[in-house]
Amino acid sequence: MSASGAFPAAAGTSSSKAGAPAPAASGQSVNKRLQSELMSLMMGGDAGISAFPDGDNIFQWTGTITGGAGTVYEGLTFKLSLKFPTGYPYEAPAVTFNPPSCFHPNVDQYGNICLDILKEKWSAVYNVRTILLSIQSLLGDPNLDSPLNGHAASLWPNQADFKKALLKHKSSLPSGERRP
Amino acid sequence: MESGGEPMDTDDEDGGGGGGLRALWGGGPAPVQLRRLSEALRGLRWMPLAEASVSAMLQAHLRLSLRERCAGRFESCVMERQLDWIDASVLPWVSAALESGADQWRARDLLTAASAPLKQWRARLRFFFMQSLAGMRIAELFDILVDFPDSTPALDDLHACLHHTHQHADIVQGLGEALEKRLLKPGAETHQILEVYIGMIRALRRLDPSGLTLDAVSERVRAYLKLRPDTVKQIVTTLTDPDSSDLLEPVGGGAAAEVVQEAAADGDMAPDPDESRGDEAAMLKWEPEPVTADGASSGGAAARRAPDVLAILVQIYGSKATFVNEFRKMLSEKLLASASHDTEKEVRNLELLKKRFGDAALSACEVMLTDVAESRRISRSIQQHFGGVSGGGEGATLIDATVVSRLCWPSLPTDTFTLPAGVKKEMARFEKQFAHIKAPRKLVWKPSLGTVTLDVTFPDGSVGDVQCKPLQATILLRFGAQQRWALADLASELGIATDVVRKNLSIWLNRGFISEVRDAGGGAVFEAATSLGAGDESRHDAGEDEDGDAVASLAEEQRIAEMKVYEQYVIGMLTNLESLPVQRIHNMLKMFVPASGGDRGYDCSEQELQRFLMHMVEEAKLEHSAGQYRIAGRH
Repeated sequence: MSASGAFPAAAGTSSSKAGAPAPAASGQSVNKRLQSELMSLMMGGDAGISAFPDGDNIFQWTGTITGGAGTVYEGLTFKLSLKFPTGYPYEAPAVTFNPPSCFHPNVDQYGNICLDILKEKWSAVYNVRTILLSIQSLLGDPNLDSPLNGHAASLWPNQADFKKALLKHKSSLPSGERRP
Repeated sequence: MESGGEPMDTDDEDGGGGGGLRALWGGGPAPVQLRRLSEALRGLRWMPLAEASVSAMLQAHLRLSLRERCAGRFESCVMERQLDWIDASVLPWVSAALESGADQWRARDLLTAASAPLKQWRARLRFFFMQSLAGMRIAELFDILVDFPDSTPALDDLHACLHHTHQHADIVQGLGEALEKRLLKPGAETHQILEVYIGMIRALRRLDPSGLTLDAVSERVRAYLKLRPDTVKQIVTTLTDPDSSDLLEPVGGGAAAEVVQEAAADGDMAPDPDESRGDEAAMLKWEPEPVTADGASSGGAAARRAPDVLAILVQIYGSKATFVNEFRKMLSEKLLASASHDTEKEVRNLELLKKRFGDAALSACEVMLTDVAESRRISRSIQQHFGGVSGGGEGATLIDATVVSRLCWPSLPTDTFTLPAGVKKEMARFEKQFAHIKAPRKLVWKPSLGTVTLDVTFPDGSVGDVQCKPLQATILLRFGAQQRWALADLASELGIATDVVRKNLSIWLNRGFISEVRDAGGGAVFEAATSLGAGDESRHDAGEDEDGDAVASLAEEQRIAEMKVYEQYVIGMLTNLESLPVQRIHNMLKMFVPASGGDRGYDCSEQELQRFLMHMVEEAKLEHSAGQYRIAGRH
């Protein structure tokens, strides 16, 4: 009894020991992955999307997207905050509008975004660029079936009214899109 | 112990003038007054009171005599002689002044049968003398360094003095100030600074084999040299200059260096600093590091034991990558400039550098050399092909191409211009054959590089083998087809800017092949000379100067082109983070563009980045205000 009981315990400690270096090693590789994503994003030169690490921490980025041409969002820019978990790219980054200045059926008043690839449909093949492009296309093509902002969803069918509400919303924000 | 207003005291002491005192040091019997005075003082038991004055007076005179005899003379050792002189002349005087024994007047007896106080006096005087000598030499150290190795005796003196007095800290400070005052000035040429620095490295290694002093002093020189844009170039030039190959020889380590050199002589190859034999000898010579020369500031022990001057010079940059990169650029210029494909010397240099930096770092350079060798082979085979196959039809091609691998060479200028039809045809022919031989590779021509050899014929004579750049040759050829050209027409014909045309015309203007005339409207018109005249070589100089300018601005442009990679990063950064000071941008680039694999990563200095950012401001991509950069046109 005592012998058989000792084994699982030993196995438990050894596995936790073996587990300890893994996050550090994966932290390194996450770092590398984010660096190379940054490089491809910088070299890609996609119009209307951009992102860069906030400061000294490569796990925290600020993104900028410009509304697509031909949509009500054309000419408007929005700031995003991207937080990468240490499990990235196996776990999705937390992406929000920051400041929460986006008036959109799938964005709530706190800047949270309802986008399937950021939640249950996340896959490791996505990257910062695809996230930004998805959000950019979400702006012009909302999913009205599961709105986070009912008011916006109800206005959406009438684009002229929506645009009015959007601009009003945008200008009502004291800090606007600019941050100190 | 320092002297203040002693000359007065001395007069009181010996009762006579200063001249009397110096006569007295020459030897001979003590003057009567002195003996009387000292007897009187002893009688009154005032001697301890007088001692301070005596000591101060002696110091003042020692310093004076030292300055008279030794200042500015570095080519002989003075210390031993002066110490003997103290024993032979000064001590007897002290003895006469302070002790009763008139019979102890002879120096020889003095040393053997000296009293305890006199022995103390001797030690005190010797120490003071060494301190003064060291102080004087430290003050003169800059001149000593400049004169090195002729000034070796003075250095040895200083070394011996330091052994007793430990004035390393003074060296660091004094020499540092002297360097800043006399050397690190905008007016000094970089190669001069480097020469002094090299001299300094050798001399200070001799002075302080531990290298701590050198380390502490060279900090300023290094920081200064780093700011100069042409330092690396100068180092490599010095390095590749056959007269100065001694840069690769170990310095300082004394016996260690010799051992290594012997080993090298056996194997007939460059000394390898890591050779175990050298290290062993160095270990045996180990001495504790002097504490005074606050060398904790920079570099590890390994850096301080850097075995040769080159290694120390490379340390200016901290990383060898910068140095290697500069070498690559220089190699590229050299290889492209010589049409002969003679690379023997370059191969030798490269091998020498490889010993230091390792094969991996220099693999690109190796590819460059291989490229050149390969080019020679390809060119020859293509020439043979055309010469053999088409026989008298089209004839052998006159083109001798240097084929370079784009990935391994530094970025080359891409300016293009319209080549003469004949040359174009030749090039197309060459290109086709090349594609045939080396498929799937194909040639991309760099028409602005290379050299052209021309024979220029005038009605009254001809000049053979005129060497010039392709653009210059093209311009001259146009004049062969048409006598007169307006500057603007010529520029549009060639597809380049007018100022470039003018710059490249100057060589022909200077040689008198083409002359400038003004048309009615005042525009510049150029006309081909109808006769050779006397104008050929005489006015050649001006053209060379302008060439130098062109090269310098070319280097700057290339640097900016290389930094273009970071432009996207800077824009990305500022798009998202609004506005940043140059320092933040610098830090971010350092952090997020690390070296990986073959990429060098971000390795520019903050100054270079600043220049680059200002360049972007000029291109209206950025705005700059109050030290912050932001994307232009966004408010």
